[in-house]
Amino acid sequence: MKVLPSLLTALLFSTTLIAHAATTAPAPASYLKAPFTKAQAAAGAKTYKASCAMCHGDKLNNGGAPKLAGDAFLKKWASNTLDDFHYIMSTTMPQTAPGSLKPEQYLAITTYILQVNGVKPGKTEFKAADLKKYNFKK
Amino acid sequence: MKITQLALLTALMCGSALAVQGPSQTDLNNADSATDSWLMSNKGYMGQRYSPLSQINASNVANLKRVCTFDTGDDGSFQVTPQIYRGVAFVSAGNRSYAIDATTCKVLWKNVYKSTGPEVLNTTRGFAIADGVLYRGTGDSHLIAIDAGTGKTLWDKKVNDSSSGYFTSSAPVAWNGMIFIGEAGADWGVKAKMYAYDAKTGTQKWNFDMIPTGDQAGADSWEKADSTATGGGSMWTSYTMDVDKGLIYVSVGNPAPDFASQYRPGANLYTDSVVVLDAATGKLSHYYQQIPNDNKDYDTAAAPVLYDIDGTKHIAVATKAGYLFGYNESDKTQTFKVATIKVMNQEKNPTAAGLPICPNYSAGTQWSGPAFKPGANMLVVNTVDWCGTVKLGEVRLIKGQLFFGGAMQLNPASEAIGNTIGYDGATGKELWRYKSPGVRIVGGVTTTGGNLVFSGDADGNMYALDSSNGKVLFKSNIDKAPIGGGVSTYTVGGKQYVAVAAGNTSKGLNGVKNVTSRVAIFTLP
Ligand code: HEC
Repeated sequence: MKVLPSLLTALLFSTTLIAHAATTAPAPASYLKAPFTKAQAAAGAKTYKASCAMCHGDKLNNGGAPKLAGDAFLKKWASNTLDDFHYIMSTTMPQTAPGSLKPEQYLAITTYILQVNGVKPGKTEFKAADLKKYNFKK
Repeated sequence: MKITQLALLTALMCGSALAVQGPSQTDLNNADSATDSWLMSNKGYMGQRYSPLSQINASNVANLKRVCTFDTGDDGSFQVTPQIYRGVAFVSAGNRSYAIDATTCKVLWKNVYKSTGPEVLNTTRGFAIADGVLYRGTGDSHLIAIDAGTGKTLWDKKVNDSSSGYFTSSAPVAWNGMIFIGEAGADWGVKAKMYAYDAKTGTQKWNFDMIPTGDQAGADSWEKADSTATGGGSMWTSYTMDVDKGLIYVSVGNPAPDFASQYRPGANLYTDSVVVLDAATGKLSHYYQQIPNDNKDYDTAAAPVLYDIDGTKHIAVATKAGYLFGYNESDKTQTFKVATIKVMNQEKNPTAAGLPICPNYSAGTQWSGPAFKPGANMLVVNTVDWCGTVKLGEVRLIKGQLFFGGAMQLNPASEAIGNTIGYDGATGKELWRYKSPGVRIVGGVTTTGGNLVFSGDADGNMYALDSSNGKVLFKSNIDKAPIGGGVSTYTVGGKQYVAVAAGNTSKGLNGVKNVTSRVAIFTLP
């Protein structure tokens, strides 16, 4: 008896997975092509300084916590989309109050991290819908 | 005699390094009651953290003076108790291992481990020491053997794949030519095991699955078999042994994903349990589960303590959920379960909107378990009263990343209350309580024959309490270094010393403005 509901969930779950696979967008493009504005990255830098720098360092790779910039960072995340990265960041960070920032703040921090990792800002804003469109491959 | 002279001669010839011969199995068997050493992270196999020494006692502890400080120069986590053998203190901090003179703090050698895989967390809780060799884990899930006299690495074995979240933070235990260690990493979605390795060669002798599958006993406690692949069950701290019976007691942490229990229906054995194995074979003897199907990251993390009451063996274990449990080992029954702090909404499931709970996952009893004071039959435990909010979220596994299925928010740290509490070891009745409002207490507790309880708080205060009533008899601030390690006490040349490990208690909770990790040594003038 106890197993039944879970079987049901499993069935439902796998159907959603299939449905999801069927509608999957084209393969993600390189993070180097991700759009964002200077203002977005600047806002992200401000939030980063206030909420993240004490652990991850003011250069993003010089705190006690994992590096968020540089080759080792890019290599570690190479097989993931920006959405995976954003998911981890927005659900586990800042460490003592995970998920406590506003959605636009997490997005802005993402663009700041892209900027520090060598991506140039442009005229188009980065939107939540863009997260799944890019990965960390060069 | 001959061996000592030879060792001395070698030392003179080499200039510094003293060839270390012991401790022998007999020394290890006597470690719980030894006065000139502190051989294991929790002193001896029983994990009592009790020293019979009484030179420093309730009447003179106020005169304690710091004789020296060894500064590691690093601010990573520092959660060890200085381990003492023949006048040398061994401490590990991150990838570094040190031998220092236990009376002068002079560095004798330093060993730096170079990771070959990604480091999940490089937290280390110390060594096993046997026959001139130190054994420790690493942030990239290796087990290494280091020559205790020279600091040279003797062998290095990969235990598991750190890119999937495995690491080895616990202090291993040595027994009869074997080294016992398990894996941490549940919160990253690992499926943990306990292992025995050959002390000489580093060859694996046995392993035990903390997340049973297939036809293993306990597999039916995972109603969705698929969920065992990321089932969790960490071994974080160290291990306790009943050497008369050849049993090893293993505290096993939370299931994963931490908060999304609907992903893994069932009791989820052997998470949040004390598992008792036959140390020679790795076969299950029995177990006690503290929380079935946990969804608040309430690990049973700290090692249990083994003690004797009226000729009967008991164990006690304190958990992150803020409970102290007692079990009678002769009939395998639970003797008590007492809340050490405020507990709230533990029986309710996390919600997407957020469920307020007490404690949060950084409170209760973390990595330092209860000490015991024989004679007084008293357990002394550190615990933090601190609440938070747990939120259910998406379950998404990203290799090597946290696998929470939700999030936990902590109330302001200023609301945390640290406690050191004395309990009757037979009944769990509270005897006294020392409180530090606004300051966490997560370090190790030590009891002594001088009627003292030593510990320290997150503001850097090392303190000694009167073990009969919990009154503060001595307090000294260790340069504001948060105390996350423990206090050991021992004699060198017949004189009693006290050594404390102070430093960042945890990478997560202190930020960068940390005082570097240090060992401070005290004695009477
Ligand atoms: C109190 C210290 C602390 C603060 C503040 C903090 N982090 Fe972290 N962060 C950590 C630690 C430690 C880890 C390693 C995983 C863990 O133990 O939780 C981590 C991991 C991460 C990761 C995963 C990195 C990887 O490659 O594994 C990301 C991304 C991240 N943090 C982003 C942030 C952002 C963005 C902020 C600010 C909104 C922030 N962190 C604030 C300590 C902190």
